[in-house]
Amino acid sequence: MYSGLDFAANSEPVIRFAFWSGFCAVVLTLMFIARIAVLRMALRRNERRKQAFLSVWRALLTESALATIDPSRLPAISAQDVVFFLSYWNHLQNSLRGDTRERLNYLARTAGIDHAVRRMLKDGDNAERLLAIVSLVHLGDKTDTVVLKDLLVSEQPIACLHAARALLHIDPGALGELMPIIVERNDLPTAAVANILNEAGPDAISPLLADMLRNAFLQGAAAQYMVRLIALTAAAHPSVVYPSLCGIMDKTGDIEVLAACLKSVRTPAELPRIRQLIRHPDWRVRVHAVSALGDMGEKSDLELLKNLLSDSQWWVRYRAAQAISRLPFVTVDDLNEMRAHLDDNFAVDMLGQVVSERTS
Amino acid sequence: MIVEDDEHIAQLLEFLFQREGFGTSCASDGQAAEQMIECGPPPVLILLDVMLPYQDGFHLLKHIRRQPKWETIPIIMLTAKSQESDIVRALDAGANDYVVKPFQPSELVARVKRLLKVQP
Amino acid sequence: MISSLIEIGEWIFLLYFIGLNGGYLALNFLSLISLSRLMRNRMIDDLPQFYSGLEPPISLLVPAFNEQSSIAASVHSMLQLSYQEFEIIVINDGSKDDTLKVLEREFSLIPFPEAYHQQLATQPIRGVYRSTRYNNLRVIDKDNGGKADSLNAGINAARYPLFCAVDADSILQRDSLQKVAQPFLEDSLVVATGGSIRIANGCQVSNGFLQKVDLPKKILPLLQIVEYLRAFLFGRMGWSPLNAMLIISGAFGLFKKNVVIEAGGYRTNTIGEDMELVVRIHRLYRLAKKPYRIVFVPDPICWTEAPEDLTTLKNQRVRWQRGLLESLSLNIGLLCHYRGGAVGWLAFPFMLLFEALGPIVELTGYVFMFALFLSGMISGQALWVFLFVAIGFGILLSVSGLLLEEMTFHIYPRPRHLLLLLFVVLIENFGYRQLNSWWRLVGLALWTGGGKAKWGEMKRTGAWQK
Repeated sequence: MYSGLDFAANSEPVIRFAFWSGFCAVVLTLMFIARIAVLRMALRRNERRKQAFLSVWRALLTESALATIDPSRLPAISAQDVVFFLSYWNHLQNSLRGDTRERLNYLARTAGIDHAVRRMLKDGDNAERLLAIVSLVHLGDKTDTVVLKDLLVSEQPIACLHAARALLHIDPGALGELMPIIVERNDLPTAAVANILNEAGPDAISPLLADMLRNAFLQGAAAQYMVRLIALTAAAHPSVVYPSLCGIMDKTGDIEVLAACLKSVRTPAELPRIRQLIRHPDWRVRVHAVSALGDMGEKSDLELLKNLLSDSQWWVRYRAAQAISRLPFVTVDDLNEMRAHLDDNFAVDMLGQVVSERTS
Repeated sequence: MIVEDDEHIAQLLEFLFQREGFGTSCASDGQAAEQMIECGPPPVLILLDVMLPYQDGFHLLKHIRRQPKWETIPIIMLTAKSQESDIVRALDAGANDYVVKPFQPSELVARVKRLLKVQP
Repeated sequence: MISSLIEIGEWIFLLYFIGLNGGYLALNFLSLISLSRLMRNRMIDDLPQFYSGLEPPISLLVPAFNEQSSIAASVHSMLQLSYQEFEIIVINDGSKDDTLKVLEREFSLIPFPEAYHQQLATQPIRGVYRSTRYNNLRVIDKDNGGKADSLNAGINAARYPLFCAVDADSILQRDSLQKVAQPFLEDSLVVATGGSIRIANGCQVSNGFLQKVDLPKKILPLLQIVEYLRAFLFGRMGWSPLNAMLIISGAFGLFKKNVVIEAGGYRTNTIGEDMELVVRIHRLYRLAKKPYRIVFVPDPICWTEAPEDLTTLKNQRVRWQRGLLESLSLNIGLLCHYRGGAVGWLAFPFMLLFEALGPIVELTGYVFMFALFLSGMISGQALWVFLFVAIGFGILLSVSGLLLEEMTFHIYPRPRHLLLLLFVVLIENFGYRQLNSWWRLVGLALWTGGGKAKWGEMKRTGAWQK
């Protein structure tokens, strides 16, 4: 190498430059290889540690889930092993019910895990924090709610979601404070928020959602936000949120908001409006109106739906055919007869497909 | 016989039933279970998970019921699928009972014992 | 005079090499950041799921051409995927063998009067069937038109808002749909996602699922493993955070159906229809200034059989190169367009300069340096240094691919796997890389040679071979 350096200093600039960049590449390569080796060794060490931990604790955890165990039999848990303990412990908590969970909590407290969890929540890295939040759910200690509330405004969506869920489990009363936060944070996926609201239950969320809907609409909130709110009403009691939804349908000029309402509202009281909207110029509205009519339509609506079998939009035709076949008073024979008397080819095809789907 | 893909839960179940004095055997995926069904001796009772690798529990259920020696073995489905339609489907296909996860171990033991008492 | 020309030439090659490798290293760095962020949140595998039950339903499109021996097993394994709601549509692309008969027998197909919704033009449909055993399985029988045409027919028949294009011979992980669908749940702007493809040679596969990961015994697949690590873990992961990923592998990609329909579906007269579609979506959205996201999911979710002989591998690489050139040239409007963003100004020029035209510069460089050396115009030292740089950087990039793999998924469990891969990284740079450049040059030549008349024909035989 020495002679190499020597020559590199003496040649033309281009050769020198080339040599040194190649040299850097080699040094970097060696560093990368060293890093790979270090990572692999750490991985193996961690794996061995985990196996060692499990060989002792697997039986203990299983046993203590099923019967109260004598605390003196529990070995001490080192700080590094807390993560292993918690993932196993959480897993059992999630799969079991009833007094087993109390026994598992008792075990965690006697082993001093609850303090370790709180330490992890304060000082741990992201992953450890999440694990700690999830564990707090099972421990169910009301004193932890303060920390969890702070986490609701965490920059990380995932931490916020877990904190929200944990809060609700520990203290259902926190819903009023928590709901506006998670609904308004648009970095939280609607689906995830819906799941949390589902867990909270319709009794708790319905009045809150109805209020939020009314206020948001009055204040002229953005269509995107309205659509999200309306989608979330699926988890609520219909009787509580429908008045707000109907109020919105009366006044809104936004196609997407209207379509979202039509998707959510299922009450015969709205039938007159739905029958009207079935002729709406925008097909996105027609599709949802047709589906709604399929869920609640009466005998007299059959003609309306039949007309839509020849709509210009495929989706409207498809939903209309499905809607007809869903009507409780329409039998497969009716469908076949209807098909025989239609003179529109699209409609015939569509009904044929739906009959076939229904008989499958 | 326990068919369960989650090793922690399988371990727990084995422990639970061994303590009650049962001998246990365990399969962790659909294929292994199928092999046990085809080659092994019939057990007194089967605990069957629904979500399994390779062959789901519903398939195994039908498969078990097609084996002459296995026809009358009581089967309890143990699964996180809690939809009514899944329960109906399982009972239709020949399951004797259905326990939803998260489950209560003592309740599961009681159900197992009841099924074994009713059977001759 | 001549010596200064030579020096300029040397500088050009050198700077090109450094630009190329520096570019890759920068991608590597980007990828490193986003991967380590991702992995930190993955450390704990038992976190409760927020999305259970809310995943958007997916239509799995499986084009099949002369697949009678494998199609039943593929479909059986796809039926076992763990996902809330999905349908499988097999498109029999006018197979000359018994593909359709096998499907009919295996899945008890009956004709289904589908009100076929023609949104994309395709070859004529001969019939639609549905399985009486699995209510989420349908088969479309159509005249031969190639893979792109089959996918378009599948899109027409798809019922769900997302569709996933899958090769019939892909080996999927059971959770692969969950993994690629995740970005769609987290961000409503996502229009397409693609996943890491890994090489299945040497692995134990049964019932269409991967049982045990291992390395192949043969050298060619081994070399491709290292290549795939490079290509996916930083070639694509690096571009993804910039929203500038230009390729989603045809073996496994998830798309928003209406976006693809609006874009006009797959192009039937190209070789690289999978890449062309993605570049086109980029172009249409960027130029229309519409917000969108195309996301890469680094998890290994799809395994594929790599060619084990030189001829097949050569054909594949030549095809890839032609596909790349076509995809870029068909969407050349995106290049340095003032609305092009990171795609138009970084990813597209990078692909064009280093991936598409790279083989020319690379091979000319080798020829040039050797010629100069043989004619005595440069010293042996200069040649030695040139090779040192070229090979040094080659090894560096492959090792960094290996490092990313070790940081994230470490799917090869044994230390001996790692050592073998490191060895492959070393030898890869003596011959294999250069051979690859040569094949790509052939692809480039075929493309410029205006093989247009042959494209349709090539595609039919070529696109299916693996």
